[in-house]
Parts: sequence; structure tokens; C-alpha cells
Amino acid sequence: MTTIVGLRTKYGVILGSDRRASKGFFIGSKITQKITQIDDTLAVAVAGQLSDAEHIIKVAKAERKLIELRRGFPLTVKESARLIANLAYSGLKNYQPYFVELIVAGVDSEGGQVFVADMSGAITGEEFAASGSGSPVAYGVLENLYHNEMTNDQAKQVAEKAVSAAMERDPGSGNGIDVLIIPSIIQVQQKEKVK
Amino acid sequence: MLPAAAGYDRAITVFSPDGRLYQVEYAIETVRRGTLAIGIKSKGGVILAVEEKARKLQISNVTQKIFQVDDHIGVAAAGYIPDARTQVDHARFFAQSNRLIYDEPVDVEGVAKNIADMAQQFTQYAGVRPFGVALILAGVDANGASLYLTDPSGTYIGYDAVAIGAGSDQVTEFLEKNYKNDMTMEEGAALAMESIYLVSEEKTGTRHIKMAMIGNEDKIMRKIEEQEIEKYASFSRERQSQDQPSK
Repeated sequence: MTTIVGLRTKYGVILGSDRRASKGFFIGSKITQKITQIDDTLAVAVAGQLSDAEHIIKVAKAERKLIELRRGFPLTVKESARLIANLAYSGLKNYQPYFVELIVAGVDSEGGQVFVADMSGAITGEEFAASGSGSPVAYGVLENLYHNEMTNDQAKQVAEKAVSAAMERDPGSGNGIDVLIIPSIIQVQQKEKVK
Repeated sequence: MLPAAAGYDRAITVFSPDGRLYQVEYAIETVRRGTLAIGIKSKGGVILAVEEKARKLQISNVTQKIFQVDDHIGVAAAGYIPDARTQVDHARFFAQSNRLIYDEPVDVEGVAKNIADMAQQFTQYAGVRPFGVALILAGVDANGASLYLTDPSGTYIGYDAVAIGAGSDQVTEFLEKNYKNDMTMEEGAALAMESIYLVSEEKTGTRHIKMAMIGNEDKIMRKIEEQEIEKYASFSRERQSQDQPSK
């Protein structure tokens, strides 16, 4: 189905994904974009039913903008993850679940954060996460290579390794790797202070 | 002063014998008595400028009269500002719905029409009153830069430059004489400052003036900081002294 990964470092967050969209045993697309950048500070990686994922993300994007304009300041990463999870929860409770598992990653005044939101409507904050059919293999790599003193570039390489390994062994994942780095704003400022 | 017109100002669903909707006209009077708001279209984008009369202890570094509808659309209001907040909220919702349904930023005229249609409805039902506010919608969309004025009657008209609120007649006359459609953003902003100083009680200083701009290039509404407003104020003073021949 998919492999997606999300990692947090002291300097931001990294999302990685493969590019295969499978329709049963057929490869529907080899160039699927599974990471959606909502704005400069937030992005979502999707696994599962791509139409459900696209819908939930579009609605969340619109609600996010509306709340930001109404209250005057943007949503935090946690608030955005909660917004998406609430949509998934109402889907579940209305017997029309969104068949998705999403990794919501972004940066705000608390630094980089990674949340996993699934179709039950639960969110969990993680240092690193993987989702989709290739996730067990990806977790194997992440458990081994992740540590929280990494730089963004090191985390990018770990993300690529995790997705790459999953693509080797999971027929539902393949056709290329996409990686997105969202650097944290406050860490950059702290670095400049030291100089 | 408008006459009370013997009972035809009570329910707005009723036309008067001389074919007028008095409640709508009274609402337009509310706009005329509000503080000044100006919109100017320049070669580089659109400018919104307002005069705000803040009380002494009021926290006046936040604007009360300029609102953001979406990344690329801003609004300046004159009249009964709480009514403006309702209309702006409606516009914000409309703008996001448009993005959700069509995957496109909404066009400025579309927002203007939507607000105007809503305002019109409030002139045709019993038990409601019209909105007591006029909005200058400014934005940059696929058609370029646009300025639209909506008023309590539900009219919406596109402009190159427009002024509403107290002093707007004088400012409109001034703009009609001095507006040029090949002005830069800076010149447009200076013209806006000159217009405000023309009718304001405070002829200097910038604490009573708030401004926002949307550029053709980035299509993002930007609230202008006080320092930049001061820059345009001094720019406008230079323009004024250039226009007048030295004695």
C-alpha cells in the first residue's frame, strides 16, 4: 500500500514516502505524491485510501486557514493534528470511516513535532513514526538508526534508508522516494545567538 | 439630515410613496458618518488605508478597520464595524469553500458579489435590518489587481480608487484630480496618506493611520508597520511641496 515515515530532530522535522499507489495487485501510479505541504510550517504524509486522505487534508487545510484568520494567529502543530484527528473521529462515529493513517509533522514555537493520526481519531506524539504496508520494515531501520541528536540532513538519510528498505521487501511500496525537511525556526535563531 | 418620512422608515420591506427604502438609506448614512477608509489601485498592486480615532488608553497598534479575508484579499470597512465583522467572516468562509471546491483562490469580484447578495437579502425580509457598513475589498487574483466597493443596499462596484466614510466626498474629489493608473505602490501609498491628511483633524503623525497592501507579484496581503507608514507620510509631504510652486 505505502511506506511513509516521519522523524523529529532538534532542528526540525523530516517526512519521507514512497511513490507507489497500488490498486489490488496492480500498480495504479508510480509517481504518487504522498506528502502534502500545507504551508511553510506544516506537512502531512498519507497512507491508506488516497481519496479519503486527500479529502480530509483539504478540509483540514481550509479549516486551519479560517481559524487562523479569525483568531489572528496560526494553529500549532498539535492543534492541526487534533483538527485532522477530530475529522477522522467524526467519520468513525458516523459509520463512514476515513481509511487513512496520517503522519502530521511541522514546526512551531515548541520546535518540531511529529504526530500520527489514524482512522480511529486518536493522535499520538512521536519522535519517529512509520505507517503503511511497509511500516514494519521501516520501523526496523528507524529503531536502529534514529537518535535525537541527529541533524536534519542525517535524519533525511535515515528516512531515505527506512523507505528504501521497506521498498525492497514490501510489494505495496516502491517506485521512488520523496523527502521533505521542515526546518525549525527557533533552533536557527538559537544557533545564531551562539555565534 | 434625512426627514423621518412619516412611518415609512419602520419596516424595511416597505417602499415609501416616493419609491425609497428608508432603512437602506439610513444605513448608508451610518457609513457616511463612519471614519475614513480608502482603497487605491496602483501599477504594483492595491493599497488599503484607514483613519482610526483611538481613545487615549486604547491599545491602538492593532487595526479595527482592516481585515484579511484570504491570503490575497483584504478589506477596509467604514460604518458600523461589528456588522463588518459578520460580513468579513462570511467572506472568509466563502473564500475557503472556493479553495475546497475548486482548488483555486477565489476571485475578488466573486467575494464582492457574494457579500453584496447577502446584504441585499437583508433589505428584503421583515424583522431584519440592513448591514450598516460599506466594505472596500482589495485583492489580486487571476485577473490582476481589483478594488470593489459593497454597500448596505447590496450594490457592488469596481473602482480604480475609492473613499468611504467621513470626508470621503472631499477625498473622492482629490482622487479624481490626482489619481494616475501608472503609479507605483509607493506613489499610491503616498496619495492615500495625502488624502487622509486632507480631511483628518490630525495633519501630522501616523498613529491614527493604518495601512495594508497586496502586491501583484506575491499576491499576499501585508499589514504595513508604523515605520513604513511614516515613510509614506514623508513621501507624501515631498510630493505636496513639489506640486506647489515655491513662493
